[in-house]
Amino acid sequence: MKNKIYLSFAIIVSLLLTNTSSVMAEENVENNPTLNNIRKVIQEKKVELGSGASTLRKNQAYLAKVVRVSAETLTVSVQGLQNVIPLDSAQVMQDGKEITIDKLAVDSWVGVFEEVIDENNKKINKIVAYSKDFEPKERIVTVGSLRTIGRNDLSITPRSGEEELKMSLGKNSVLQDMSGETAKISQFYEDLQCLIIAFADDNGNYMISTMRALSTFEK
Amino acid sequence: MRKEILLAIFVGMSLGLMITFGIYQGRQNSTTKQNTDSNRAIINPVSSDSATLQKNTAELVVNSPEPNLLSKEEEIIVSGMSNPNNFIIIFVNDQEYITNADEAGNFSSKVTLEEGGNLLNVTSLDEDGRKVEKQLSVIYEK
Repeated sequence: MKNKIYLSFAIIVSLLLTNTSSVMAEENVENNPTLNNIRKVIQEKKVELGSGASTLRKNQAYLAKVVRVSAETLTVSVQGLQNVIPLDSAQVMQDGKEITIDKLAVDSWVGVFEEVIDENNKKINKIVAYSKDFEPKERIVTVGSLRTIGRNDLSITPRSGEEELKMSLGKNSVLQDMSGETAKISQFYEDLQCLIIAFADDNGNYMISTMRALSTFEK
Repeated sequence: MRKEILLAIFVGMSLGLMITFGIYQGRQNSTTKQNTDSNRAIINPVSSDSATLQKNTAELVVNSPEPNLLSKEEEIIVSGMSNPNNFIIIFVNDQEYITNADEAGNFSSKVTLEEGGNLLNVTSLDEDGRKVEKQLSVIYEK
């Protein structure tokens, strides 16, 4: 009797284990959504860690516009935000030579070189004064249809619904077909769709820098 | 003896099937919940970096170069993500580079830096003329 009970118990247990283990095995398949979610989270964390580590690279530098100069600090504007830089340890340079802080003019441009100590601490090592004005020129970037086109000027109706724009063509204007290869002004015609990049000159006229056709030339 | 064995097999199979059914039901419920969650995420997209760039809103993410880059290389790669097939115009100071975002919205272009300060402007322009811009600076020192 005792043997029968043991045998029955063993059979029940083995059958139970066989069934449940087969179900559990299915959970391990590659396309299991839970596993995929876990992998996704791990990947995101890896990216996070990667970008965090890169922001902690030792040396950084940025371009800034001088707003205010004092004996102890330099206030600069970076994309509309103002930074106050203490000048205690920073060396001020121009053209490879050290200069005094009073040589920095308001509205001039500087490169601020800093060493990253940790996530919250940076040490300004060097401030380089540039003679170049980095203020972006006023420019137009638009796509539209050529309304009129002459040898030296054209007008375009932007797709964005803005008013017709008049622009000039100069010797430095680059004309391209739709693949970016050089084209001639004679290949462009009215109603052709184009991408145009133009800069304002000193007189407020827009001079075309690049004009690229957005379709093949049909005329 | 034989009767007991048959009974044990029957009881074992019944119990096993019941447990299997229970586990199966549990898995079904969790899968349904996950699908509902992902549908909700598509309907209400979150504004994470490479997430969902909607067709009707101009989007632009610049992955490279990193902010405040001090480059020792004259040439760098400007890359990122925008709306699929948008025109991407990269200005390095006043020098422009034109490229296109691919079907997935990714773009990448090699640009040449000027020695010293470089103000980078990345403009993404869609076929209807809508645009979005990002600006960053890179300093190139030999």
